[in-house]
This record gives sequence, C-alpha cells and structure tokens, in this order.
Amino acid sequence: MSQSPTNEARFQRLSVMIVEDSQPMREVLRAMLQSVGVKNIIDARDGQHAIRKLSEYQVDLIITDWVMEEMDGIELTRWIRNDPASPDEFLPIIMVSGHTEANRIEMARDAGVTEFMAKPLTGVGLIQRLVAVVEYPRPFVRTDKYFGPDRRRKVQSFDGEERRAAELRDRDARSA
Amino acid sequence: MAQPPKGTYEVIHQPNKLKDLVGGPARMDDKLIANAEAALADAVSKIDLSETAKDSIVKLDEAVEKLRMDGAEPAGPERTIYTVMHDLRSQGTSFGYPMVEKIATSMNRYLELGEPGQRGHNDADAIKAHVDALKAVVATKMKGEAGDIGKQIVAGLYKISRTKTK
Repeated sequence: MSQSPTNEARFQRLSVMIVEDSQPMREVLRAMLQSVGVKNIIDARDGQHAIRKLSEYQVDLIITDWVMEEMDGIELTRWIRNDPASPDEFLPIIMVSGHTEANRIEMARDAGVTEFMAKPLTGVGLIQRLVAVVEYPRPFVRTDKYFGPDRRRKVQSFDGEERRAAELRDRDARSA
Repeated sequence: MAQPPKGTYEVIHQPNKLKDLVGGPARMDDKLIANAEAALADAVSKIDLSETAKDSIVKLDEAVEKLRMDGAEPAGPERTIYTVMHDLRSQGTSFGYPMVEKIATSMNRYLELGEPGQRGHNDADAIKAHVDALKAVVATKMKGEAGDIGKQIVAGLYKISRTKTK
C-alpha cells in the first residue's frame, strides 16, 4: 500500500482559520497546526473579523474559540450554518473552549459545531479532531429548527482513536 | 425502535471535500502527536503571561472604573470582565498559572450568580477584589500553586463567589 504522501504531509493542503481573541492562544494554535503540516493559516480575532475574512479567503476548516466579545463562537457558527451570506454552510467547525460543562457542549452542538475540543489544548486532542473532520464527517441534517451536522452521535470526550473509530463504524453500520 | 422526528427532516450527505484535499487516509500516529506536543510545549514556554495579559488588565481596570462610577450601567462592563476573565482562565490553565485560572473562575462564577445588584454582595467591590488579586498574581509572575498565601487568596474569593447572601 502506498504511503505517499506521508501522514504528516496530509494536512498541508488544508486552509485553516483560527478564530480566537487571545493572541497567545492564537500563536499556540498556529504553532501546533504548523507542526502537523498545515501551511495556510488565517487568523481572526473574533466572529465579526472571521466573517470579513471568510469573504476574502478560501477556508476549509475553522477552529474557533467560544467566548469572544464582539461576536462569539456560537454566533459565528450559527451565522455560517444559517446566514444566506455564508460562503459555505457545511464548513467544518471545531470549537475550542474552557466551557466543558455538558450543557455548554450541548449548546455548541445545537448551534452546529462539528467537533468540540476542551482547553487546555493538547496535541493528541487537536489531531484527533483533525482526523475526525477528515475521516468521519457526519451527514448534515435540516429540520424546522436546526441545520448542521447530525447530532445523534453524543458528544463525548475522546479516549482514543480505536474506540472512536469503532463507535463511528458502528453508527455508520446502523444507519446504512 | 426510535420514532421518526416530527416536522420536516432532511439528511444531506455532502461530498467529503477535506478528504479530497488531504489525498488519502488521515490517521493518528505517534510522530504527528509528538510534533504537536513539542510545538505546544515550545509555544507555551515562550509565553510570559505578565506581558501577554497587559491588554487584558487594562480592559479589566477600565471596566472596574466604569462600574464604580455613579449611575453606571453594569451590563457592558460586566460582559467585558466576563469575557476577559474567561480568556485569562484559559491562559492560566494552558500556560502554567493555576492561580490565574482559579481567580478568573471565581470571578465568572460570581457574575453567573445572578443579575447585577442581586448577587448578595456589592458587585463593584466583589469584582474589584478579584481583579486586584489577579493583577497581583500576574505582576509577581506567580506560576504554579502559590502555597498558603495563594490558598488564602483563592479561599477568600471563593467565599464571595459561592455565597449568595440574599
């Protein structure tokens, strides 16, 4: 089986937007993304800034903080999913937050985020989410009150790739 | 058997654009994880919270000043304080300043106790106590757990943020 390009080089063609009001956190995320091969990284300091930049750049994936003063990550997610001016309503969104309470995670899911990652950041956590959005994209669902990734998979903490992969395979098998 | 959802319900299977971009299977591997962890450690080691938190502290001071003005409308300054403290909490957790994390957690827990004026304490005083403690920790670069003094500071603040007295 071909090993080329290497796994390390897989992410180099992705264009990733970081939406984070904290400059040091942006720097940390940028360094981590670069370390796994991502070359095209666009920064935005809040949701409004992200919307402006989305009209200027092709973006394949957003990593956004939740709490930001001008427009927070939840509002940004709702805009991307539902606003007629959104450049891509299916854009994968990884939400990063210090809010880790179950009701908060459900709120993020209900806004339409694709994956949730708790702070503090870890290398494993970031790569798990990158792999998840590439390898296990969920179908989108449109109902009277919701548009976004299928929420039937419960948002749970990641304990490891194999368990997660098995869970998703089972889900796919059930829904097939 | 699960009941079908009421109302309209459409499932959309999108082409996997990310998969096309990465050009093959993306998977977890030890080298990738090691790269990311090393980059994280390196980036964190370069961050000096006493420098990076300067703007945040200016915002907190300005918000506290607004709150203490006669006839102040608290919603705006409190939202600023909540947002800045939330950010500092994350930075404290991520960059090795647990005291910052604890003070910011206590501050936001207090703000979540209820509406302004209904939390059982003088809001401006309670907020200023948290902001002053945080400034002291940042100014003295109090990394790690701060021993008995740190415990006393945090215990005092938690007493405010965990107690709704009316």
